[in-house]
Amino acid sequence: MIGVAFVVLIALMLLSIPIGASLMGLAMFLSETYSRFPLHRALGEVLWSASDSFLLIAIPLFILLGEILVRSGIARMTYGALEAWLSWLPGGLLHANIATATFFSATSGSSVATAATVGTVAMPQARALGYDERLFAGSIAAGGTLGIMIPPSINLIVYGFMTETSIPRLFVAGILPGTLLALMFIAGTALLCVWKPHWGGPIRHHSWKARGLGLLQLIPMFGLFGLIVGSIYTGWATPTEAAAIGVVAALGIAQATRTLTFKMLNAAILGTMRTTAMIMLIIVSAYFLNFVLSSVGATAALSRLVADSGLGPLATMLLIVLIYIILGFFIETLSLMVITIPVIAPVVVSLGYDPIWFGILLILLVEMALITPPVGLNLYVVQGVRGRGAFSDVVMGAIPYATIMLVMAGLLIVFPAIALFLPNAMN
Amino acid sequence: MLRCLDAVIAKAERISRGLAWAAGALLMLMVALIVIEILMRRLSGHGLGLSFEYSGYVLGISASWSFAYALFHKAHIRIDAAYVRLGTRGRQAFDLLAMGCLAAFAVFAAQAAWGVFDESLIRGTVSNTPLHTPMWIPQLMWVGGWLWFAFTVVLLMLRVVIAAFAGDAETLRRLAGGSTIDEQIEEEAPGAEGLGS
Repeated sequence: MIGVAFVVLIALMLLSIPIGASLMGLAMFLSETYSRFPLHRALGEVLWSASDSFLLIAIPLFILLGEILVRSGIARMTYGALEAWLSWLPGGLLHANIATATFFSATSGSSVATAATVGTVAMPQARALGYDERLFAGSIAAGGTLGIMIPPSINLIVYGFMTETSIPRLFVAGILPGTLLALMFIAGTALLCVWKPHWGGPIRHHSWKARGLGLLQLIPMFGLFGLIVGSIYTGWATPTEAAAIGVVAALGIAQATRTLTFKMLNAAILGTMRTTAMIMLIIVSAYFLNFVLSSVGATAALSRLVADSGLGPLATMLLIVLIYIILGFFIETLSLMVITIPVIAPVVVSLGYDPIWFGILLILLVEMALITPPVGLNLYVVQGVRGRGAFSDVVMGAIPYATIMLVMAGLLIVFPAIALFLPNAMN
Repeated sequence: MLRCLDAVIAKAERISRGLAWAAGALLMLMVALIVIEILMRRLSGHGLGLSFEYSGYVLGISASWSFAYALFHKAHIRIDAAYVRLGTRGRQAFDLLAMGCLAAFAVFAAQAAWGVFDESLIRGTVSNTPLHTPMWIPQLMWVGGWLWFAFTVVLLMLRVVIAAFAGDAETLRRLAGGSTIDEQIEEEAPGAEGLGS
């Protein structure tokens, strides 16, 4: 049954049928073929209960927050400030690319928006200063992926919703691995540029005065991040409430940078609703598929299969990592998550792994999918912003960062505490 | 006849945009309500107890009101791993199939959603909270979005089928084609325009 389901799903997706319809199609097929009860009669109730959720409304709110921020001009300020602090390192501006993406993603939550915004600010500099555009583009594409690891993360909300795992704990769990990954990107870039200086560009030194002024410009981003994560961490607000506070704060920032106009707000709202509709159509379908899969016993069957296979927990985990890397070449992030979580998460938990920890590992793996061709959305976004040269340049430039992500996946498996230390300290 | 259909589609696109905007406004109201509740809880020790229940309704309603708008902007994700390797003919066939499947899905889901609303209305179901909200009210708004979405997909499908028979490749691509990366950047990260340079 699992094999059949897998083949049907792959076929539907290869036919480029919209993901929501593909998931629903698979659910109907499984229910017709394997269920003794007409499961489709529950469809309406499932659709309603999946969307009537205090938890999920955090998704459009965080999207709205990001939509306002990308239009507020804050990315340019942040880039300037971080450049003053980091471009003395071997690799120069590459570090500002990564750090800006990290900061920006920490508040926005969308990888594509982060890569495109940072790319728009940074790419002209690569040309003006004569950088090798390959690593330059790669650092932006990779930095942009951090958006789904560092809270607030829309993808973590989706994972938490589908596995019934605590969102506050997932958010807190993402902080350390996300920061560590950003630092590894920076260290890796510096090492590469010491080894091959022509891969980077001119190193620049800034006065302490410029750095001091830069710190002032970082205050809004730090403040917003602190407000959102701090209020969740201390239990002061739920993720949804933190998102609502964040929206108000983002409006305040836009007001301060004099970018808050009716036209801007209008565009931010329409952009938010477009993305929300896209995500929610997939989520409600995935939720129904989830319901059908457990009703027909597919989830239990797969867990049994894994248990009977004689593979130990570690070998199974490595196999799962491999599956994600391969699927990640072809399937886009959110789709990859919703089609795999219902079957894989229960197996992982039955093997004794912590669902919070797996959430973080899963996010890392789908981050990698964002920068692996042929379907690595961030690569295309950066190439699109770049607007010249070969696409393969961006692919080449992203390889070092994909490698660092693999190392990070290894670290997470060997030292689960990287993800679990902070959430466990919450109690 | 065809001109009439195109006019209806243009009208439907404007209505979908208006609905998405209304959904966004609803979301903004929700933000205000949540923030007010947090402040009340901090200042007077207890909130209104509205935001927890209403935010669920608002999500369901605002999402369903925006499905059609996302459709016109090709925001509903399709996996294009095989699609991009096809020639024009192959892509057109895939575009038609995708639109057909989305239409079937939308009609089916809208029908199921209607069933939920209908049952709440007949049984007089109220929410399991102190507010005792009659469920048919939020569900009517929610099902309205689904019905509108189903209507627009069917409308677009009708138009692309006609375009396919007429050999009108341009219309087919415009209404049902996969979105290009430039379109996606424009849709997802319009930051470029606000940033200046």
